[in-house]
Amino acid sequence: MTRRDTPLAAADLAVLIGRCALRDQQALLALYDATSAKLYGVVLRILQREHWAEEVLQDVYLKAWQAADSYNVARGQPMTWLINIARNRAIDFLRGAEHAASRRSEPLDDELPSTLDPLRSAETGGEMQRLAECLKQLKDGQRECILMVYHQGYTPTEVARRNQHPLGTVKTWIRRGLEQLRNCMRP
Amino acid sequence: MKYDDPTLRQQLAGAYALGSLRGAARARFERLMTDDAALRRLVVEFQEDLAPLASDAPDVQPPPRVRQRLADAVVPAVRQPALRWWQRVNLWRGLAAANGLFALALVAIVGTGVLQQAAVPPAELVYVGVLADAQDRPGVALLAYNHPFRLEIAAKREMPALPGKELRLWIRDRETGEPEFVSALPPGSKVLPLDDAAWQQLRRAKALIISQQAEGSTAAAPGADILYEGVCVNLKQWSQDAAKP
Repeated sequence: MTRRDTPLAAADLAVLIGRCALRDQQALLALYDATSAKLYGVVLRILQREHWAEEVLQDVYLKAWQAADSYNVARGQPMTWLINIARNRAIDFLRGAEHAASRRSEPLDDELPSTLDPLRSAETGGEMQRLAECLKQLKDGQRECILMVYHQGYTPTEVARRNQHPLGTVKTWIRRGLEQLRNCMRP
Repeated sequence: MKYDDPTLRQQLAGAYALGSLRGAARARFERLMTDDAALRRLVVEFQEDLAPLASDAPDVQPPPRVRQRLADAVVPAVRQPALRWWQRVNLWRGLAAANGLFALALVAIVGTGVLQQAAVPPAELVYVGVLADAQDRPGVALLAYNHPFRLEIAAKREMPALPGKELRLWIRDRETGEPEFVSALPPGSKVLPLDDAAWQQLRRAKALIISQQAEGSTAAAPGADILYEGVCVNLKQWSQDAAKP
């Protein structure tokens, strides 16, 4: 179980990552036990296919294993570091030539969430609340584009095609939306 | 393109963190980040700001086969006997799951075998450093506990014990960046008791250093004799920062 809202969880994870840097294989498995449910949820939301998500999840931990010695506190909270690895690997996977063509045409796995409720968790967690408040301040189009890219790994081009907006408009919405988010999160 | 333009840097960092920067542009940006600490920091800030979105993803338990495949890929030593105490999986499961009591779990699991601290008050792991050699290969983990103050030393490889030489522990001061001697490290030592003064030094440490120098040397700095160096992380401070709304 991942407990990002529990302060000591960050310390636990940092120690495990440090042990991975020392090539302690058991620490990697402990890190997996502590975080895999969250990271699997993240990659599954982007990939929408369980068999792809399984492949990517394994790859995420191998990447963390290889990069553990480069991790330090300046790279952010340990869970953020892992989430970024997971998102990047999932997005890279989607970009793979063998999957790009089939990605949007296959039916989704039935049990997976296929819709987004970006403000769903506004009631939980201070960080999420703050982010949700900032997201509310964006224009609908800005918010929608940003969430589609973040949650589902769409490119701006894909967002433009799916939402039938000009590509330039989508790029502008994303750029300005990010700028407003930053100003709101870090006034 | 002028990558020193603050507006452009912010836009690129945001796009990278969001995931909308793709292809050659993404690769180019990653190369830029390699030599630009300020840019990396900017990206981390965006990633931290956006992270709650990912954290909000529902937990989904992956099938057990994924863990098994991972273990098969990286854990040839798992089934070997005589694992060292810090390699035992139960220890790390305990650390990960103890929800704030991981230091107690460490004491409970390790017990009298290593720490011999059966009756100590709740111990806290306060500082951690993973030290790497000159080739940037991690070699030593240093874990500093309070109650009582002590430093545990876990070396990936046995540190060299050359005749006429001794190992020394230093901090690198976070304000001045200068090394400051803390203590000699007895050969083969796994636990080094720390006095109040040494603990205060850790509080000021940006990095931890282990050097190997001539016995009796009065050198005020490790100079070229540094074996390992790594960032010193204050976990308590970090935890407090993480808890801030």
